[in-house]
Amino acid sequence: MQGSTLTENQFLRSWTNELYLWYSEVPDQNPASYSTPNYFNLLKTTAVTTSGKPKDRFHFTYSTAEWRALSQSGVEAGYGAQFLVISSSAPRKVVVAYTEPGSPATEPPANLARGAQVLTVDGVDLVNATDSASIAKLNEGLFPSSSGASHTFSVLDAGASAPRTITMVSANVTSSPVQNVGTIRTAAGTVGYLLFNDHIATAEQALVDAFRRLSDAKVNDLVLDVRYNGGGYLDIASEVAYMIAGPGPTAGRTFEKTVFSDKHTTRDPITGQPIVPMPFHATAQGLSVPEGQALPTLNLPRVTILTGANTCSASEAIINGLQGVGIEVIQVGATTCGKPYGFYPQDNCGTTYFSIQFKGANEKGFGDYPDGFSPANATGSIGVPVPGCFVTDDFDHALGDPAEARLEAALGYMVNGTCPVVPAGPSAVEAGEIQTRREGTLHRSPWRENRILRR
Amino acid sequence: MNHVWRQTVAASTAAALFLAGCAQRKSPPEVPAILTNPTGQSRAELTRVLSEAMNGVSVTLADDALTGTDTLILGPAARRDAKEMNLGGRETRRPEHFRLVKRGSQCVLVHVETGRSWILASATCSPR
Repeated sequence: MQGSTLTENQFLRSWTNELYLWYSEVPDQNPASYSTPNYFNLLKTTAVTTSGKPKDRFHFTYSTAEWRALSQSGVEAGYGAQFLVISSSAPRKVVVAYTEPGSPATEPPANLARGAQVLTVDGVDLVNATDSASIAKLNEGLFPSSSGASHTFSVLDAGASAPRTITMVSANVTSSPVQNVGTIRTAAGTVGYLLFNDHIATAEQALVDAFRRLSDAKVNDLVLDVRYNGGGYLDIASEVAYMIAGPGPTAGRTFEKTVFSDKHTTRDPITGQPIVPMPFHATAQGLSVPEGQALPTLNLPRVTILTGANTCSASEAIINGLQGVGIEVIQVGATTCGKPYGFYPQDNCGTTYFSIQFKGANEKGFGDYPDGFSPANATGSIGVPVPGCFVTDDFDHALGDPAEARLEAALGYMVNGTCPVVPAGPSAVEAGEIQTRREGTLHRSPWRENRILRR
Repeated sequence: MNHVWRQTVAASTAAALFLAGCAQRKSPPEVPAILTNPTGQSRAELTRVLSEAMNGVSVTLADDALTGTDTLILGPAARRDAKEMNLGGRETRRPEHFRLVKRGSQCVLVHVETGRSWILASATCSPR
């Protein structure tokens, strides 16, 4: 039953005061003076991070019906090409970040691959169009919300001198969250590589298979590529960390502890249960592998993690969790998104509210990385420094190709401990900002309407 | 919650064995199954049944759901906020698991976490 605006606002005010992580930083506004959306927008901290970003960038609402929607694990309407929007307004740039095997994007005649740049959609100039009708067509074509939609694209493949025209029909594509698992022989020994794109349920089985394969190959180092991994099941992040480090450094220790506001230090205020730290899972959690099955391990003292601006949340938890138990983490790529936070979504009157209620802290109690993690030699707006190298994304090579810039830098750092030279710009800060902008934004969801590409 | 999947399977098996031992007329054995020759009608039925099982929420499936494996996992659909930030970053809920079994000539969908089951009248299936 719909309540009055005042009662809804009063509910939100009380809810925020009780559960918001930074409740004491919220200015107390009169709930009778605002519409509910406007009032909710005020119910957050106005503080900024060290880099100047808003401290709370994760305060939003969602239609409850859409929020509760379910999908078969990893299934989403699209073509199987993950488009990276490097510039969303004219002159726009959209490239393929990676593809899903067996999808419309990778099947003939489309044969799309990483690095292909989209130039037109259904005849609309993607780079330069500015009118609303054209932009609507671009979004509709690039990000179909259902299967069976046919659209025509002009694409410039990586390394090609002339564009080609393809037509793809959208489908409910099943993603492969772990790809390109392999080994690379280097002067430092045999290095394992795996591309891990999504912490979805089916990733549990794929990761177990990947780590078992790398264990059988007796790798003595690992490159974990999570540059496009925005998070998901935290249990899977814990499993990944365990499979990297093994039981020695992780047994009986905390992968991540949930920290609520100072009003709730012992019990989870939503579930009422005692706050119990999440351990490093040594066995499968029953997501797609039978619960209790022992996980393979590499028992490595260090790991190199490839990152970017789309590396978020549960992916960042892997970095933080491993650092908490003394595993050497080397970061190659760009600054991560900076989301050590979580929430219990709250439904009310058809709207689901999201307000930060907890942060995740590691064994050492550290969980403050709102500006993300940054390779130590990064410039510009940076987060918590991690040893490693700032390297921009390289769309001219396949992910997992030892010549791909980030992987190449990672392999070089393993051998000689040095980084590629960061290209000089007008200033170090500007160079960093340019590098950050080049990261682009990854889009997976169908619920976008016209807001991805803008005028 | 972590133990639900395994425990429910074990409980179902035990119950099935018990019933098999006591019933005057034996129930047809259940065997893991996959869908064969799915049609638009059978896919729609599968989607509808899953939605009903999940209290009416929208459910998106692959066209080949349950055709290569007897297990189907449902999780949160991918979502972003108005600024296109990924909302699924720190998921602590559990996915839902369904298994397809063939019981006699019937194709039956079983919700592993609860043991509830539904006959898929439009589907054809064969032992996996």
